[in-house]
Amino acid sequence: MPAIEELSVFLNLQQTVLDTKDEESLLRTLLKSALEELPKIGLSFSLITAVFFDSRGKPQANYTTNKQGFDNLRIKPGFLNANENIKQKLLLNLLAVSNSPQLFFETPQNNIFEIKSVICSPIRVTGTFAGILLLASEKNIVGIPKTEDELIKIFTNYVALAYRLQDTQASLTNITKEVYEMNAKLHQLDKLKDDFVSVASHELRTPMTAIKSYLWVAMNKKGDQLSEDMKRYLSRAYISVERLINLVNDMLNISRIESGRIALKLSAVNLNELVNEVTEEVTVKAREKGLHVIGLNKQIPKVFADRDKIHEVLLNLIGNSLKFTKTGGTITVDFYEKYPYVFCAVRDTGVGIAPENLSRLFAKFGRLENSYVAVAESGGTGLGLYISKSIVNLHKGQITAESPGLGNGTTFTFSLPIIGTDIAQRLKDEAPKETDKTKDLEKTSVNFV
Amino acid sequence: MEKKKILLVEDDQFTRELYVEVLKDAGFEINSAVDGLDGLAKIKMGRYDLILLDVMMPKMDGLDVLRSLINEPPAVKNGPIVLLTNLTNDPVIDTAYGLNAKGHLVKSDITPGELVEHVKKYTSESGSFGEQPNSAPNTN
Repeated sequence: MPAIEELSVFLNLQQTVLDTKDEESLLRTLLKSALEELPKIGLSFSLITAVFFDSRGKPQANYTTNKQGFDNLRIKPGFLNANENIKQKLLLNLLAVSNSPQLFFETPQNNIFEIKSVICSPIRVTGTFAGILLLASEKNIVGIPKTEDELIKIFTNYVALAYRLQDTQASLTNITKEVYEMNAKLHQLDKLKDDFVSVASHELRTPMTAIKSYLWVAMNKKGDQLSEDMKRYLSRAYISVERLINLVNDMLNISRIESGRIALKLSAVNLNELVNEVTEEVTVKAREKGLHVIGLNKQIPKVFADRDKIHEVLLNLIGNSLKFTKTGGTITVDFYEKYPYVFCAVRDTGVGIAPENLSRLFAKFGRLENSYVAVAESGGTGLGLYISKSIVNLHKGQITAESPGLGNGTTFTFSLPIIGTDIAQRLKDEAPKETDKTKDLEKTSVNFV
Repeated sequence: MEKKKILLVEDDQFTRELYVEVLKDAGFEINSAVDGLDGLAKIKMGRYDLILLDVMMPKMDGLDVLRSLINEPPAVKNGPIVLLTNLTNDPVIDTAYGLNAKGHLVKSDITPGELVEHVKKYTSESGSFGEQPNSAPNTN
């Protein structure tokens, strides 16, 4: 039974482990402290070494602490193989004593050995053999009494625990370092990707501008009478190149959104006013198609948002409705308040969406088969709703689509935080700020043909 | 009425030739340059009512053209310089405004018809630089 002194020794050792701030020197500190503490309970050693083995049984690390005068002892790498009977005992998880220290240690000066005996204690970490604790004594030890055997085993467990802690800390440090390095690499890659997208889009725009301009001149040259067929060919080519230009702009936008380089310029926004602005912008186009666009002016609180970006979202949603609503239809922009958000709903009487397709709407290039023709004619890119969703989400809002089914119209609803609410404050704190790395969104023109 | 004189500095041949054609048809007198160096040399000859300047060009880019004009102002005055570029949302645009550019047009965003409208607007705002009694003798 461990007596009071024995308990206090182990408590001291435990305290040593707990007090060590630098986990990487945990084992060394523990062994050093043990050399001073263990003699108090009759376990006096001149040198303590903990040797750890890798999975193939090769010594991979050893930690030694020694009394003065025992500095030159070096552990022999193959000591275990020279002590077959000890090896057997250790594998059975038993202590072993050897009275042939020269099998364990060597000294460069070939000093006379003062060590007479070596106690070997197997170190098990998470249930498997991980190393050996060597306790070298100047006394000639023949057998180990039961009490000492127990105490040494307890101490060995401390060593195992310290090793585990130290090892965990070392791997954590390594993992952290690796994560940092990987992160830096990713940032670099992200920047390369972004630079590439920027340069590539500029290069793409040059020929696209030439195509667009020549087509425009072909259609608009004074004095040349084009046949109806020729007009149709040219106009379709023109729409397609516009669509390409929009696509480049949208891809730039997505690249910026995804690399977190879109900053929000937040202010108090009156959504009624903003909607009226957008409906006015599309009035001419809507009238050409025989559509009504109505903004229901309702009493709603101001929202906290980036006005220009929400302008883009509204233009995109109303633009979509204009594309997919037949002559005579109506597009209504409605509002309602549901603390802490204002919800803005763009409702049309258009072609509607089949329930199974609703979830695909906000994906990149998530356009639907039955809408392809309309999209092709309208210069759409299949990226507008994805971008709108990204913008709304940046504002901590949500965007959803509802439709009673094909032929029955669609409603897109998005939410924005009301000014002065907790969520608005969180948005203010967390929204991406403008830096020299952030950029604005490219404008994509909304075409309804 | 005297025709307004325009210099177009643009390296892409197809774009350059089309813009020249369209602006000529719209009643402007137009001269063109194929890169920044060529452009700078022509700007120094002076007497343009408007200079349309591309940014990304071989030999010397548009910004360097603007910088040299600040460092060594031409003896003969010109009208405003407007960037004609396909760069959008680029710090280059702001830099150019700091270097005396009067405006910027994004080529992929406008039709040739819109280009003509913009050019008309810029040239009507500025006075005529075509004949200046106090400038160097006209070599034409």
